[in-house]
Amino acid sequence: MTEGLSFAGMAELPVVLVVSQRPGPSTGLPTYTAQGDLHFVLNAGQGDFTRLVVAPGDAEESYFWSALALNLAWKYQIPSLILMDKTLSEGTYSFDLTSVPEVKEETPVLWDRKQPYQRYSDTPDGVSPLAFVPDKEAVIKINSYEHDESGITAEDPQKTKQMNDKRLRKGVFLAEELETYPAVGVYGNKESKQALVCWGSNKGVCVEVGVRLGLKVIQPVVLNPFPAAQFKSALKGIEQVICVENNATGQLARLLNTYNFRVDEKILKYDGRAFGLEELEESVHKKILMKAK
Amino acid sequence: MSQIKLETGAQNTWCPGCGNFAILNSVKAVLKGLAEEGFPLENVVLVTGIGCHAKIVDYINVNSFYSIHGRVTPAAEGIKLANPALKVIGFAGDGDTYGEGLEHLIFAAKRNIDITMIIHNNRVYGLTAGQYTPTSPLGFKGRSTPQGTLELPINPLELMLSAGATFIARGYSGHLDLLKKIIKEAVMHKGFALVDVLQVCVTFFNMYEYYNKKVYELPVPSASGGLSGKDHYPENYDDALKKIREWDYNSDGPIATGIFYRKEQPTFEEHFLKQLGERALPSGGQSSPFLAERAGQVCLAAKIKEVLEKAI
Repeated sequence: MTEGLSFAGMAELPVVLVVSQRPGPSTGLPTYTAQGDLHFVLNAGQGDFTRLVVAPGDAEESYFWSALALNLAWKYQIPSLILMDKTLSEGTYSFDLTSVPEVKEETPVLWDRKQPYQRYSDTPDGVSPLAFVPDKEAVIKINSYEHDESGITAEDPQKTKQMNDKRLRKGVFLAEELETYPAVGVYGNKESKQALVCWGSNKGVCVEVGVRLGLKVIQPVVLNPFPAAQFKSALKGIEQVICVENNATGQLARLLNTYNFRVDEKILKYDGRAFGLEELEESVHKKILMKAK
Repeated sequence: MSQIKLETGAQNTWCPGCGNFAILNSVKAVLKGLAEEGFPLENVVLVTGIGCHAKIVDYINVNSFYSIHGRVTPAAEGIKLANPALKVIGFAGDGDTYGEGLEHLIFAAKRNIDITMIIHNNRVYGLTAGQYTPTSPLGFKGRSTPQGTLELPINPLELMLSAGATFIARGYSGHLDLLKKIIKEAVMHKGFALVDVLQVCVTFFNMYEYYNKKVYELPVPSASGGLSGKDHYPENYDDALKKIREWDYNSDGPIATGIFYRKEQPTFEEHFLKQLGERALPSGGQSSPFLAERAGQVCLAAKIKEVLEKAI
């Protein structure tokens, strides 16, 4: 997967990848569930390039964010990754379509035919207008090798830096746009000073436990570019952060640390099974009591 | 059509004497010929892998997809399926496609998808300065095998014949006229075509002298129909196999060049479009809203719609 992902980053090919996690490493428990691939998906593929990573928490969010991921992949000509786990991707759910905001199919930025076509023209937002084969007036050159605006291989230092900057500039605009979407979900008791932080399919069980114990629940749906402003505002007034994850090391906690968000406690389950309600409630209860002492 | 400009202005960085020049010149001549015959060059897509061969797309001013090592075949197949009206020509190295990309090549031949694969077979990794490849002879001394390889090469043409390729040929970078002719035939062939080009790497495996002694052209049946008993009939599978086995990329046998095998057979994209049409038209011949909706934006949908409308 990684060579194609990195190729899409360099050649600016819009593509959406769905990654459904199972316990690893290697063959692991191939028919069970886990959340062990967050950092793999955030970092897979060599080199620096812009990517979108979203981890929907339920069927509604999967429906909404997969449509948006496709639109954003085309708009910014980047790979979008939808991070799922077995619980979510192989579960069967029903939901009310009208409860999900409508996502309209957007037309990507197309070549206006005013200038000779250049597949990788350097623009203020880094997005090069698209043309499609066959086009009588355009020669379209896609390249995995570093290249100039026309798509011809280039190795000189200025061009290399310029094209790297162009590709990464798209990420800045993508991050700005994402702040206009509900990139971080907030549930439970919004006055609480304690918060459960979760991602992906743990949303359901965490919200239920949060409601039972009177806690706030914070769920980042977008994981890259990380919606730091929304996450910071969700944390306002929170004194204890408990991260709930289906992996052995606390991968979301590690990600949060890189953005200078503190995680006080981790509740980790990595036996291939999803959290049960009572089981999680008990674990959370213990962590809250520890804090109270 | 007098103003066909195939040059890009990119500086050519192949070594002087590199066999790639012969392939570049042949392909340019073939593309020029196609354009003169009225085939629109915007319908051509060239695909490459990684290696010295891949630079060829920097030197030809035609749509191109410079992909990654070993993945020329799947990229070419994807492009062909997205728009079957395109002519898709893949260029790959021997290390690129007889090594890492071999399984793709076998499956493309098996499904007889209408793409042309031109293999720049210099029997060495040239861009990385001289390691052995799947077609290097036994005992080849390279950077990774200073004491010589311990394994026999594969005969890619024999493999392609058994995998189901419907056009199999071999060219030699030292014989430009025949190479042009073969590439033209391969590009015009309907179905999976493979041209193995003995393309000499002057720097790391200079075989010019050897090939000049060993290479001969397969005798083509003459127009007058004179049966010499030596003519090669590429429609005959057994004859093709016999000629392909004459030289196994290791022995000292005579090296035939020309078209070994050619067969007309339905292509994968024909089956694919038929199946797609059946699925998109469940009853009454009405085009699906999905196809109609996207037709204006995406050439795949436009093409499918066009094909479907023709089929109705």
